[in-house]
Amino acid sequence: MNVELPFLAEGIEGGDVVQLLVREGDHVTEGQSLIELETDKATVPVPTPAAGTVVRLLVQQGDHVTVGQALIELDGADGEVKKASPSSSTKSTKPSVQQTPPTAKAGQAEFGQPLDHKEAPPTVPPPEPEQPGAKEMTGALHSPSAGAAIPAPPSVRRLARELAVDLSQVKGSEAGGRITADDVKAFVRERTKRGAAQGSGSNIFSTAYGSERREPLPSLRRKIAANMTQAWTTIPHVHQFQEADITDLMALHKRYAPEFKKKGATLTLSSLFLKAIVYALKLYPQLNATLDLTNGEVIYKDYYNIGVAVDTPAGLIVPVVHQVDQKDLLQISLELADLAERTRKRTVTLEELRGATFTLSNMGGIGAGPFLPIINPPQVGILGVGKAKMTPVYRDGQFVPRRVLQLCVAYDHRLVDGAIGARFTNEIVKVLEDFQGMFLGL
Amino acid sequence: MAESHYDVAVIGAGPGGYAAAFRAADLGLRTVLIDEDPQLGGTCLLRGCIPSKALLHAARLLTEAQEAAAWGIQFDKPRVDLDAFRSRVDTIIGKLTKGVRTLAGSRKVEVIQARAMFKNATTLRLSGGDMLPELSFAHAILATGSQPVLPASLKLSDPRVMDSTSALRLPDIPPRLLVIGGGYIGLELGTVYQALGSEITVVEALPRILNGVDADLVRPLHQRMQRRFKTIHLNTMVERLETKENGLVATFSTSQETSTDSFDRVLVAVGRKPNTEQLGLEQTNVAVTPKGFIAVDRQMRTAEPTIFAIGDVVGEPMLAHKASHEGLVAAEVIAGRQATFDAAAIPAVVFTDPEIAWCGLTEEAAKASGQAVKVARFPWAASGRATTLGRNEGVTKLILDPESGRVLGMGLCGVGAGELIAEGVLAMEMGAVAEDLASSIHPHPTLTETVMEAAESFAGSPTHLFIPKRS
Repeated sequence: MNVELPFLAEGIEGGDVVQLLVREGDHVTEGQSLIELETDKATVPVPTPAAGTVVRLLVQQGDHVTVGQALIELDGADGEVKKASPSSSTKSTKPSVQQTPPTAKAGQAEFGQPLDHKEAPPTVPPPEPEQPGAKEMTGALHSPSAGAAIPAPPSVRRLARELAVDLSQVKGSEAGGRITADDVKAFVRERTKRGAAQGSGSNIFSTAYGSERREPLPSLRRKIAANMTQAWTTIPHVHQFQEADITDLMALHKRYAPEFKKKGATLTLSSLFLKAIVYALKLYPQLNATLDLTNGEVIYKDYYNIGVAVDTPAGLIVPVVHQVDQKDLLQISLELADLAERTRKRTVTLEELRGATFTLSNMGGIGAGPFLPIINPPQVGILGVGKAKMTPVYRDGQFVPRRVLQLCVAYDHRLVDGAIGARFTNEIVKVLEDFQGMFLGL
Repeated sequence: MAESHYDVAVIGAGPGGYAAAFRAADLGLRTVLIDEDPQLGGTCLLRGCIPSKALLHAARLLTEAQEAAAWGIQFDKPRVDLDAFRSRVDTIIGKLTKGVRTLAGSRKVEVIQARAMFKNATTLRLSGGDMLPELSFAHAILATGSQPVLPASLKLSDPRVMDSTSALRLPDIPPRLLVIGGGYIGLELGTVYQALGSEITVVEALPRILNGVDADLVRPLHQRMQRRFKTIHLNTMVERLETKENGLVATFSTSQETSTDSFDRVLVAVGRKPNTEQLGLEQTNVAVTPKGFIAVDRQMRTAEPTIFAIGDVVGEPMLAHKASHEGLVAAEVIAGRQATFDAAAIPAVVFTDPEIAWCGLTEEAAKASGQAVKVARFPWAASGRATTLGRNEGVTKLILDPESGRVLGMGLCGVGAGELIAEGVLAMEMGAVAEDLASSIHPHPTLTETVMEAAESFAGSPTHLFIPKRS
């Protein structure tokens, strides 16, 4: 039978094969992970639905696969195989400890829970290395002429490793078949030209203007590109600027940050922004809504889930703090830190990346100035903030130094009119300037 | 938690462990180096390579003084002050081990003296010191080395039965010393005690000493030892060892007969075994082979993703320089680099007099596997430098690919062979052919010319040796 890429979650059409976790000839047990797949949301292991022997691998590392595509040819789920495996399975079952993605959870509205019922997944599942087969792991590795089979100096062997070149396929140009660095580079050029690149090798081209490097677009980047194009070309954005004097907010922050620290949390401006956003969203439900043009309806949402843009080495990912309105600042701070950390490590679950009603993009941490954020559909609004600046403010007949934050709310003009957008923005500013006032209902 | 968490925990501060720790630190990883011994350096520095070479140097002084008579130079019989001798060796060890500690300090490698055991795949439990009882790590490198094997039949709980460790301490100079095992450890220590005045008997169970080394390389050493040692028994087992009034009585047996002889001391040098016990490995997925070695892949990874292993614990050859190289590989892999253990050759040296050294393919291994090779041999009888040293018994040979002349192996017997072998290793790593060696100018008059002249004989006759063309 062929094992196909199963339906993983709504909106996930496929991904890139990051790592093959099994080899041809391996026995696999039901639920054992076959490959590690990088989707545009998270990296997930893909389990086998049945036990058997891997006859053939139909995909390779770096391949882009879509739901329904065959991954592996599996030989019969018969009892014989099941009997044979226990001895070797003590180690090989280990990958299955890694949680499989919540395949059938898409319809449920529950958040986060499904993943926590077994052992909590390790905070940092290390990239599962290929289980070294017992055969190749004995002392035989150091037979006297181990590395001598191919005449290439150590520096060239390292180059070959870095360029993912199998030296046994390279023809040496020097006496005795010795392979030089140039031979390896020529091999890579040839491989690139033939289009047979394995994906991970860096493909260097020289052009009339200098050298260029071509790399396949990772799945996440492709998804970001598609989303941004759709958002920017279909949504008529209004960008509403406003200034917030956050001098008092900073004083508040300074006063309470140590208290939070004592409880193991870091009080960040982002947590405070989340509170301000939710406060304003409650007053202007149009901004916590989705436009359904097909049915000619507006969908107003009674829940307040705020996406928070996180910069990861792989690119922009937006995990979601769910039900911000029902959580206090301590809870939000703890959750946000954990969520951001796991997002950077790509261990965040798909559920945690979905269901946002509004988005916060805080670039203050990297010292950014004001900028125009792009709405993440089907949401209709986003708040973009940079770094607050010490600014001379004219007050009571004199200039006083105040910390002023330039913020920008983008909203979908199809649903939200300028007057509402401006009032919404002002409401956020009001909370930021007088945070305690929010609790007094002012 | 933050205090006792490390990126890399290295267990064992021998030449493999400290090399790994230093490289890990150089690559920016927070590293701890753990060893039971208060002195760093492991077997190599404290009870192996270094002390034995110091002893062998002294042995050579004694032998050369004796042989100076052939040059018309007469020395009186030397007097050996054993206490001064031992303290000199301790000074050498002390200097080197201090050097390792200084290097660790300047690299900010934390050093802990303790016995470490795995609690699980990310935690070590420490004992025997006054430090935190546990520490956690992202990666561990196991470099616990090996120890001498003492077969049960030879265990007498008598201090006169020594292993290499106790023999290196030079308890005294026994009039009659029995060396059990004709491997490199037995022969090196036999050489030391012979030079100091002991009468040496060597017993080897196999048909020859230094099993595995090409016979033509062993022959000059064997001949010289036959002159200097009392006896070398081959194909002989030590059946029994008993404590008697007149010393230790050993019963030898061959396929034909049994005989007995008595000795003042016995050195057992029949092999070494990896230190893989009592490390808590059962708390991890680390796989151990039936011989007790830890199974690793070419990145030095064990079956437990967080744990690496290097050096004697992962298998033969048990050599310091192999361990160091593996240590560097492990550290680089942990740091995310594309490293792998793919050495073309691991040189081996026997520091006897004359020395024997080889790397890569041996002539006998080629023959056994049916691989066609061409052997280019240059006898030191034709070397000017060897003649000036009065040591013409040596030989240099290259094992070459018969088509291309690529260097597949090199073997040497002669004084200084341990230094000369480095050229063979470089030739193999660089994929050199005989012509490359023959065309590189070697300094005259040195023993290195023997390598060049051996290489010349691949294509024709070297300058100092005439090889008649086959018709």
